[in-house]
Amino acid sequence: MKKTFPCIFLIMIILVLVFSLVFTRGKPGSHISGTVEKWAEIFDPCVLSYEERLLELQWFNAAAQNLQGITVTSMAENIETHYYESRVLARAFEDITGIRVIQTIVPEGDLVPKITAQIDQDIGYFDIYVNDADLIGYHLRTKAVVNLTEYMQGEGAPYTNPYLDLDDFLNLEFGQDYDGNLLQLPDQQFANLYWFRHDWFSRSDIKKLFQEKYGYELGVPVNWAAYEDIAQFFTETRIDGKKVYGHFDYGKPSPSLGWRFTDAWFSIAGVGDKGLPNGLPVDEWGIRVRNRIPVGSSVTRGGAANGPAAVYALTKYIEWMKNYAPPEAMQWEWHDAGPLCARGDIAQHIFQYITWLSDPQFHTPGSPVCDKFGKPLWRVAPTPHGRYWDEGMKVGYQDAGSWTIPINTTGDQRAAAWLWAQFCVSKTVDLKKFIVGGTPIRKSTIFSDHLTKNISDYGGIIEFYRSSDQIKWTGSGRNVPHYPRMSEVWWKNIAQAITGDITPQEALDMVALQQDEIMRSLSMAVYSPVLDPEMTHEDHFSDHPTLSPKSPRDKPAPVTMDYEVLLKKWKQSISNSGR
Amino acid sequence: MRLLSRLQNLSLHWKLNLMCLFIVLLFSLVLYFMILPYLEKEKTLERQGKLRAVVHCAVSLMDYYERSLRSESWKTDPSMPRTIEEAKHMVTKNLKEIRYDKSEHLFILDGNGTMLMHPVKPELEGMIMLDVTDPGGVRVFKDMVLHSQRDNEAFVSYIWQSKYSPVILEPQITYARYYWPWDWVVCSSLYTQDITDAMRAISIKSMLYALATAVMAMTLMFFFVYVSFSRPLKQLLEGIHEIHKGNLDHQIEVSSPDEIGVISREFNYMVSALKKGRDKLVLSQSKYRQLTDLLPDIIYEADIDFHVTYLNRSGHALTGYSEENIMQGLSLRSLIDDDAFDSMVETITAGREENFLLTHKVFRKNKTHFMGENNGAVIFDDLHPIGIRGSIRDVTDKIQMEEHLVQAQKMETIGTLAGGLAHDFNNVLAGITSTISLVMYEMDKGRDIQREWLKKHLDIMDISGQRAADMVQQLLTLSRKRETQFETVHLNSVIEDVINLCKNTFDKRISICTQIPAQDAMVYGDHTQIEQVLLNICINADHAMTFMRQNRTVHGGVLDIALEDILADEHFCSTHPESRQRCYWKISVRDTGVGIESNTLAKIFAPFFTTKEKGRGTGLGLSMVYQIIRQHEGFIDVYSEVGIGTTFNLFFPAHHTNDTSANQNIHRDIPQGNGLILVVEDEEILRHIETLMLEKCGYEVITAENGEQAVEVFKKRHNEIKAVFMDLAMPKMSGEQAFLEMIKIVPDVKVLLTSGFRQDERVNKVLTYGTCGFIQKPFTLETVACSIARILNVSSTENQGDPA
Repeated sequence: MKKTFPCIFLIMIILVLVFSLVFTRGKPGSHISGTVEKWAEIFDPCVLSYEERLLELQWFNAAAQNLQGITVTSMAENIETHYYESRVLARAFEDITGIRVIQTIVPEGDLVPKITAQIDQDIGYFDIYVNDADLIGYHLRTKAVVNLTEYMQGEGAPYTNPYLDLDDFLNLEFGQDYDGNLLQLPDQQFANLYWFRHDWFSRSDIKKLFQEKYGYELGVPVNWAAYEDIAQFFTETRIDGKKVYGHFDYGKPSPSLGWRFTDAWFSIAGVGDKGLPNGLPVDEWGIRVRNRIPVGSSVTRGGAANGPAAVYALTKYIEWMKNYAPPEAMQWEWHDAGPLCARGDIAQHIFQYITWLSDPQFHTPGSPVCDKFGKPLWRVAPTPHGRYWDEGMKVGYQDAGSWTIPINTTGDQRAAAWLWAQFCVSKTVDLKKFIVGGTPIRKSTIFSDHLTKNISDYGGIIEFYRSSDQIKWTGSGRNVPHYPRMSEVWWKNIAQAITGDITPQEALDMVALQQDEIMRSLSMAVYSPVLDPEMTHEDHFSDHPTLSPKSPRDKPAPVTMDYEVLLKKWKQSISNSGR
Repeated sequence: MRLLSRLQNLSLHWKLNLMCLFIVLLFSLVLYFMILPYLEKEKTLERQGKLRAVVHCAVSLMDYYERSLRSESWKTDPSMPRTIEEAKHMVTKNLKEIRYDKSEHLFILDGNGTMLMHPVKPELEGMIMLDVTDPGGVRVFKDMVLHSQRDNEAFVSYIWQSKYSPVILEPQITYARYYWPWDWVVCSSLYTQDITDAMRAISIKSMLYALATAVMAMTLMFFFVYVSFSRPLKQLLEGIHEIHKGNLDHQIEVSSPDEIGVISREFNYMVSALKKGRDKLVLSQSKYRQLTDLLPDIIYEADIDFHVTYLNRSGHALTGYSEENIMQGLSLRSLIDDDAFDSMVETITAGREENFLLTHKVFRKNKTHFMGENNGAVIFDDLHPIGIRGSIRDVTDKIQMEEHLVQAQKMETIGTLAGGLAHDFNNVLAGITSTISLVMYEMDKGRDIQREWLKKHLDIMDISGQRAADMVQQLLTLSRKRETQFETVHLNSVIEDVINLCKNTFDKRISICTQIPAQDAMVYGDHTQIEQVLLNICINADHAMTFMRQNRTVHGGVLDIALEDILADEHFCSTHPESRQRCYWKISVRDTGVGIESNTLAKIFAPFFTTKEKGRGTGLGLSMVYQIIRQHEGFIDVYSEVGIGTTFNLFFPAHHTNDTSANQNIHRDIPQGNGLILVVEDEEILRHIETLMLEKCGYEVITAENGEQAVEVFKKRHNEIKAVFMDLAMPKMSGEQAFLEMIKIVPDVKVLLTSGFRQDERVNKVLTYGTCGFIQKPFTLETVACSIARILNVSSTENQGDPA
């Protein structure tokens, strides 16, 4: 008994020690030691090693030493990438630099008026915007945003990330003026690509039916003739006993209806001339430019906004919308339609903004467009061409939402905003941001081992960005002198054509006329539009045949392409901009 | 290896049972190390999946409110939150109330590790949990927060207090999901002790079931193996033992229709077939044994070690060996002479497939022997020789008969030669007598005889006498009868001797030509027999060129004798079936006689076949020639054209030896000696000549005219007399009788005998009496000197001298 007591006492002491260790509670208010290390660990996977991430984050920490306590106000559109920035990256940025960021997320339709107002009225609403590079023509003519090239070499040099690596950006030229000065730094980028149900297109029974009906192989449509046949086929054919649609689009009268045409529809139909990134002398807005000066968009001024190609494009839009798209599509706008292809009854979409393809509905097991492992049953491919499209023209639309600093953001505020912009595009965070938002901006991200390993999750997007073809997808370009005002005229007129109040020709005549009027009214710092005199066909084109719009063209033979052949072609033509 | 060897030595019964045991053991191991861990893993995964599903539900609720905020749903639905804080509050409120599995719950941390919501321990809310560790040092909450921020989700395992008692520690697992739009880490935990407990219970149950199954399976297997394999196989084995013992009447019981039953049935069929076959074989053996026993010849078989394995009844009778002797390992060497045995060894070693024919002595058990003609063959098992078998015929009488016939034939030959010889002999005698008369005449006239004149006439007589002696020696050599004696024979000298004889005896119109190479032609054989063969062929040639001609007036022709060496290659052997691939000496005897017709040619070697007139030939000559050449392992071929002539080609195997004594001309000095020699000779002239010869050799000589006188002299002076040179055939007392008397006086008396007869049985008999030698008359000084020196043991090298 004498020996038993000490033993029990000893055991009790050990137990007390163990429990005191086990249930040690954290004290309120204590800080995480090694903030940089923590975030360097969290930003994984990454194209940089842990040590390289530490170096880059430590540079941010050091560069912001004099800027701690500043609050940066930022505005961006309401896509997943920017939510990630505002909710995660802003917190990390504040942890590392001590600079607080308030990033307001608004629809793109609200963002453009805000930045326009800030520029036009010289009011400091926000320190920095993520503004589409579609506005580059406006920014370069107003000279109201910071020339980042000059800033990086001058005042902003201490705040410019030595690991920024501008050559690593995919399409830096989208944000450059005619002279190559960087006005906008890409933050997120997405292309418009043809989207289709690869599982349906691969089924032998469906292919056989299509072959019997149209006499050629079902595949990725190369031109609109084939797209139209496929749209008709699926709309009229029940797949596994269910009604499906061969076309997808949206038609609600809203600003985003205009983007439908200015972003992509006219360019893929073949409006404008050959040339990259935009047609010269006439671009896909139908605007003719001479020596960087817009001279008119009406056919009577050498433009093409109301030419045969434009009328053909609008006509097909209305026709397909009515015949092959879900009836409710007329009530959708850009934001509504984005993820709806995933609902399972859409066979193809003539062009899909790929930012929406990061939505979980396109990657979740149980989704009608995914297999049981969540792997996509859909694929993306090049957008089919309209009958007015010629080799050498841009193939499709892609734009980069880009960091843009108004010139009325100055001093430390500008420096802090510039640090924030660089942090959001740094190599440390870019791969993780792409995984969340699906909007690539860096070649290093596109060619990363992580994406190579998981390439099957992206339905062809990675193969597209790795190919040399991706440079044929471009934004609105430098010729549009005032994107905010000019884009407004499109949707209102087109909406009337959709309802049948006016004809497509009448709607586009109005668009051309109103665009010309806007351009006539503009008085910009540089390269301000100067309209050519209006002429009739007879007295103008006979003397200046080069100004003639494209003549009406007949429907070509439908052409399709095997998707595997396309993938092989993409893989063989690894982008010359790749690593 | 040892274990493997032991396993291999086990019976099939035990092997099958061991295999069953091994399978059960293997299954148990697979169960314990693979299936149970797999089940545990699956169970854990199932729990993890459940945890993940619960947390995802919570996250989807958050996402719902987040989406509503983004789309500003509050504008159309007032119940929806207007700010993110409102949304978080609504979610927290809902999640706090959620319980699953009775008491399990969710808790929420933020990105900095601050506990935002804990339904069970609300006191933790607001505390930073990053430094909290479990007893193993795992920073549980830090891992949840950091890992989920990095990987979007994380499972963290650690030890935590039991939900039943804070003093009990149990393993726990937490699933954490990072919801980045709100910077929240949503977690839920579960204890895994129940999984461990459940798996332990399953393990124990499984092992018990496995053990019970193993015991049952082993028992069933043991029974099954015994009934289906062991017992039938044992019966089969007993059956095989019975067959092995010779009991072909044994039948195995067929107890089942399975494979073993089929084997047993087939085995019975096979045994029946074997029995029939054996009965036939026994009958056949009995028949052939009876047949062989009826034969007068010995029928024998021997194994590869030359142990006799079978002798027929005649074999037992002729040799005297019993069956018991054979059982004890009677060797063939005991039955036959060494040469024949060596030949059989060579035959079986070379693996020759053709039969062999040997004539040799066959020894009886009582050491006597008879001559046997052995016709045998090698026994082969597939490709390898395993023994020898054959028949031996007693040919003693036949050989004696043949010898008599040969002798008769030789006499016939001598008779044939005698006519010509007599003529020559007269010429020789004429030369001697004429010369003597001439010398006598000169002496009678009292004329002085010049030394040179006398030397000339003495030389004539010497040459004539020498020629006469040669002629007589040839006839004696030919006519003598003796045992066959194989030795190295110098063919060149044989041919020279025969040609000399032919020249003396043949018709002088026959021209004799020879082509003999300079090199020595050595064969192994009997000198006399070979000489006899060649002489016989030559005599036939003589006859063909003389009296056998139809036109008796035109006698003569050419007898051409040639000698050459032949290498019997493959092609030669194919055209001469009796030859073997080796070197031969070929003696070609060509005549230009009458020739032989083709139908006659096939019969010339048959005994008693002759084409000569009655009294001119016995018909034994060529038959004997054929036999002799066969005995010498040679062969003969004949080419003949009627009216043109005949060529006989005799082939003898070439013999290579280093012993060149046979053809060496010995040129050495006469051995010298000393002491007293008693010369006993009834012929005065010879006595005188012998005295002179011995004196030339250095001896002193006393003489006696007959045996009686010799014995008398020997009695008186035997102490002085070193040797006796004595004629055998003498009046009053023969040399043999005198020799016997002298032995009585001096037992080791040294006697050199001489006689005009050749060394025959009579001489041999005397030679057995003691130390003595024999030389045949006529003899030369060298012969006498060497012979007397040999019996006196005088070294020729020590006592050389000039006879002069």
